[in-house]
Amino acid sequence: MNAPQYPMEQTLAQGTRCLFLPCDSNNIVAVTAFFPYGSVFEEPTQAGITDFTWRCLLRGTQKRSQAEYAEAVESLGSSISFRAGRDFSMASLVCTSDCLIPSLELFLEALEMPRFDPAEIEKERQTTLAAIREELDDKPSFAMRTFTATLFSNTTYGIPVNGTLESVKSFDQKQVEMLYHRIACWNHAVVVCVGNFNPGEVVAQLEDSARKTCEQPPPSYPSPCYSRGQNLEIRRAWEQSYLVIGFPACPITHRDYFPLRVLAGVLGEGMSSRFFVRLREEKGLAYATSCQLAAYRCGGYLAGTIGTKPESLDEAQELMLRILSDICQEKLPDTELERTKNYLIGKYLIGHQKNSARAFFLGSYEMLGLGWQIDEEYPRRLKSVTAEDVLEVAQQYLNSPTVIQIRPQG
Amino acid sequence: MMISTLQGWNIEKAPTGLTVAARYMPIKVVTIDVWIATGSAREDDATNGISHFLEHMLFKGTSRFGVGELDRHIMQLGGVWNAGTSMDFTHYYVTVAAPYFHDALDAIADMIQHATIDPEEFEKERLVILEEYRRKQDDPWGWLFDELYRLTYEKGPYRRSVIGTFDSITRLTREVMVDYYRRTYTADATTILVVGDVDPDAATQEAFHFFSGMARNENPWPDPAREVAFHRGTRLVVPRDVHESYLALSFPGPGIENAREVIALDLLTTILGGGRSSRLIQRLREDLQLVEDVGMSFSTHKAPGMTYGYAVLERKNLDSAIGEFMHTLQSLPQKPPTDAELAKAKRILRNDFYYATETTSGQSSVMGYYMTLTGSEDFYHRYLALVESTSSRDLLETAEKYLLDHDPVILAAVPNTAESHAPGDLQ
Repeated sequence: MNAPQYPMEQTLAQGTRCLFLPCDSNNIVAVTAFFPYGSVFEEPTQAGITDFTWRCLLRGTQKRSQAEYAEAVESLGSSISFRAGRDFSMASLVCTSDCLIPSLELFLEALEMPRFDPAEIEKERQTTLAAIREELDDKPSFAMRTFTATLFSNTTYGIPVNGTLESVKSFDQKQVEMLYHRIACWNHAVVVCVGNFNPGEVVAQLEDSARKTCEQPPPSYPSPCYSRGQNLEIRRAWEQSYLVIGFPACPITHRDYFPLRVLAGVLGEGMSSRFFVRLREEKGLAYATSCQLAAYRCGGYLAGTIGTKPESLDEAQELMLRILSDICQEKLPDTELERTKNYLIGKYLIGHQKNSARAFFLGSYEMLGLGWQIDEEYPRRLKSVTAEDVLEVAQQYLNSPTVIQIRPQG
Repeated sequence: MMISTLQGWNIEKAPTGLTVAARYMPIKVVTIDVWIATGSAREDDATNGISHFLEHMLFKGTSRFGVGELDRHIMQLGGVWNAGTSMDFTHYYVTVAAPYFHDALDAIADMIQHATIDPEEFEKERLVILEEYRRKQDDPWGWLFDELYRLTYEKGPYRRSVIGTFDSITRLTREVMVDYYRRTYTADATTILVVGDVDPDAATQEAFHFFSGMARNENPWPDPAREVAFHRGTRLVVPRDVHESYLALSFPGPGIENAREVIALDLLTTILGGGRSSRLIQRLREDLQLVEDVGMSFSTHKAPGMTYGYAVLERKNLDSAIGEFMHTLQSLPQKPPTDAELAKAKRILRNDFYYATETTSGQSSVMGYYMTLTGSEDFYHRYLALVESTSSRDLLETAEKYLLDHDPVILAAVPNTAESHAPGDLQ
């Protein structure tokens, strides 16, 4: 079997769109089902309920208890996980080819016939609360939670995917079950399968067992409301301070996305980026500094981050702001532009080695409204970005920064 | 020249001791992964952190590439590169599209053989490493495991943190680093892995060509005493700025030369704490709800390694969780692993091995790790067969030797709030 370049598309009887990419370079199969529901649709008081609902599906089915289900999956050496993202949710299966059929059966069993035992929901709540507390203990995660909540005024993309300590405590069984019936619908799903498998067998199993559909269409994506130019200082008893400087960005479908992608690369991706060279290599202010571009279906952000000793925080902030200002003043030199584009393209391709990664990219682009074909076009689109494009988006987006400072207590 | 071609690998060892292992993968990229058999286990209190510091300095330029030029060169090739330092090894890896194999090999070979260790850059990088140290101190798990190693080993090469202490990092000198570099980065300590869209034989010869400046070590860096002794029964609870409590318990373990025991501990810790159906998860989280997460694992090292358990939990459950954790372990003789549990653990380890080697860098990491720790490719090739041939009796014997008759070291980080007072039997 030779690996085809493009996935085969098929729409099943229940309306599920499937993308199949068979390849025999190894004996691993990744199956990911994408559903168009994420935390972006949640009210702040219900923050995290989509993710919570998906996770409850692994807490027992109508056929098996939580323990029996976990035992069955792990006895096959397979991995099944369900989780929400900002714009969409994913149910993922990774297994070896010889166990695909029984693994897929278990995967569909959880999606089709969850038990929703109140005692199990309570256990999942405690696990989720612990995971949130762990995020609050992790400096970069805590800083980015704070930044997105501030930039998006605690709505849309500012809602933490796993919720807040307050919201998670309020979920009840009825809410979870109601949401499940709305979101786990195969007529809205895209299933991507990559690896060493027989598409006919997968189609037969999905048509036989993936039955739940709903007539109500998925909701329309809301437009985010940005709160620009905010300044927030937080005190924690940590040795190191942390800084986030960020701005609203465009949706991933917007024409500015690829120039912004290059801009983020120039600023803070890789060891030749401006933040890395000027803040770390020249000044020794940090071990980790980066620029992140998060582009979602209806909005996003670009944010620079740095962890530095408390007495260097002001210097780091001044320097990061100067770098951001400089990049708005003049076009990038050709060498820097080409180098950054090469790096981003190389990183993109290297990131496609795992079957699960290829499934993720194809399905995500479908959910984000770009279509799976963008996966193939992505390197070319990056390559076509010019220095003028980067200057234009820098001038348009890099103003009125929102600044989060985390400083030591006392 | 010794040549081996097991399971698609082309492995050759030069008279200098330099080893190259190459393998074709039907994927359009190639990873070059250079492993040096040195790490924090070669250090003493004064030089603690030097291996990690040196790893940083190698990125700062060579006689051919000035400061920052290596990074710019690799980025220009569309490559992704980095390095990692541990106790028994340091490795440097780059992944590029296959047509850039030669350019990337040239760059990484120059970096490893001809680092300048510029005095001015040395001082700048010290500041970077101190920031990395601070970052680790603030990370609950990073801090916990550094402390756990320190408390677990009474004697031996793994007591010290890979990054060093604030004091040792501050005091390290360039002169000592240059000496360490010359006496540890030698042909007989180096294994080069090449994995991806290459002809393994041709890639091997090219690797030998680019690393031809490396000689056998004539003046080895002194190895500190490798005798290992484990502490028993130390217990420490540390209040920190955390919202959750983090617990770790440690026990002794074998060195990698004892392959059967290593595999037995891998299987045993999988049965006890390696998944949602494991004994510890089912007992402590699902049945008793004492923890939010719990697990168990074994850290394989060249010298005797560390078996450990960990948990995330509420402060109030600390004593009960420790008690139940120990009870689950101690009940192994009365409740030995069943055939089903053993079969499941074998399947999990087999598949973990497959998943870990799905990428070019995954293959080079697994093979490089075992070759560097054992000096040969045997462990990699025998791993799955050893897993299959391990019996329930092997597991019990290994448990008796390392876990059942040992009072563990227990360390916890707890919220520094008023209610986080010390529990009854911990201080």
